[in-house]
Amino acid sequence: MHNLSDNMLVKHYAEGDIAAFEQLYLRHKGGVYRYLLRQLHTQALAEDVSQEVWGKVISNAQTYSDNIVDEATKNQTANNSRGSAATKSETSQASLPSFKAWLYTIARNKVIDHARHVKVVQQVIVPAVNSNLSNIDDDLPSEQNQSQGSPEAADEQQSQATAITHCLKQLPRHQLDCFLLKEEAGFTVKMIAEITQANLEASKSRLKAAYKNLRSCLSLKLNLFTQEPKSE
Amino acid sequence: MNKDTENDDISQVYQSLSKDEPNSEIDKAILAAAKANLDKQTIINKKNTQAWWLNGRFHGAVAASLLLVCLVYILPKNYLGAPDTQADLPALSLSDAETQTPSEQKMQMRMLTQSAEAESMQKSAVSIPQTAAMRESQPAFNEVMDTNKLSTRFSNADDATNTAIQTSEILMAKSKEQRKKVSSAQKTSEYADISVKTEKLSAKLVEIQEITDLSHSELIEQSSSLAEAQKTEGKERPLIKQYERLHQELVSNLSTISRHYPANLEISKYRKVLSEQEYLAFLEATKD
Repeated sequence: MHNLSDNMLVKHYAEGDIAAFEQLYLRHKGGVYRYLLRQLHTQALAEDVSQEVWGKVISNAQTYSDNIVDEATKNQTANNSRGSAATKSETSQASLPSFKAWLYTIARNKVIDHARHVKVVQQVIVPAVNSNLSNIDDDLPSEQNQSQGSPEAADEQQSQATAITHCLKQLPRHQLDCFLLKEEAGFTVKMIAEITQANLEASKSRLKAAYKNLRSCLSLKLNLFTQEPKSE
Repeated sequence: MNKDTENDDISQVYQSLSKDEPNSEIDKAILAAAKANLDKQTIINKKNTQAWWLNGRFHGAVAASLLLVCLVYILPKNYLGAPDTQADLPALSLSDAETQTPSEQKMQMRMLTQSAEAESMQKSAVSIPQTAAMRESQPAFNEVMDTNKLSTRFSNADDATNTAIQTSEILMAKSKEQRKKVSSAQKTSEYADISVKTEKLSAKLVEIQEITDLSHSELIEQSSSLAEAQKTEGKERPLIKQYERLHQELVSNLSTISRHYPANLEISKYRKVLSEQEYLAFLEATKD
């Protein structure tokens, strides 16, 4: 079960294997949650939206599984007609839909839905969000507990976490989106472009701008990165 | 510096953030939702299976019914050879026909009619699916069926016409009989009247003969000669004239009776009031 791909786990779950879903959930729950948390800045809100995201995965698992089978059959047929054994596995792997991309697309759409909702009822939501943000800043002791090194190192780590949290909030939404998809889920720029439904160049520039802005912000906050990294 | 590694420092700082995880309650809720979804799917699949089974049973029942119909009606008729009820029943009924009473024969005729009606109904019941099948398989079958219907209609019309003719013939015969009866009755009554009248005339003539004391031939002779009659007494002249007139009427009646009812004419009763020639002539007529 541990060695199975995401798509196979979804297929097993669609066929009635609850253990497959547990495995799938364990693999991705942290990444999705953090992606939502960095976007929404509120733990409770992130948990709610996370539930919605996984709810959607559960309800659409059967359809997704059917699509996987259809796509695999199509690829198989195409490869057989082409007759090249070398390209067979490559093509099937490349063109098969990725569960991870589907999962993060759902999560991103949920965030957008939430942003629209906030925009409409801003006056009600904003105070609560602000108070929760301060709570998040206060919740940092868990990070402190993790650092078992010297008090200086712990201080440094805490200050870095505070700084990066602050700087992430300063990022524009599209840049933050691209940055989180890159750092949390490990997507390539191409995948990020697909998920965000933007073209490749736009995604590249957004990601580049995100890193640049974070670097500037962190250098101000921590006096780190005094020198801009040399670009090629 | 490589593009992939140029932002490693930022990534390192980001990764230094705590690896936040959702609350364990959220985990439980999501996993419970996943299990509930599976249960729901299982129930839906079960229902689908049950629906399929019910549907299958329905189709099976329909097929079994059709098979039963084939076995009971179509196969015996067309391939296995059904018993000929009409051929069997008359053998039963006609064997003792001569020894049966009229009421028993009526009873058997009624049974025959009922069996024939039952068979015709059975034939019509069988012909419905056959006709439907033939309609599907043969496009020209409708035309043939229409022709058959027309011929059936014509034959039905012929039958109706024949029946009507027979009925009219029967009615005509009955009316003829009635007319005969009426005419015979009329004739009987006419004969009775004529006979009575003739007898009265005869009696009157005899009475005149007795009054005048003359025979028939004498009275006829006197009446034929007016001069001779004038010579006689005044009272006798009207009697002679009356005798002649009554005699003529008697002869006319006797001739009618002898023509229509010769058997009933007893000419000997009128011997006194007839001449020799007249008597012989009527006697000759009554002999035939």
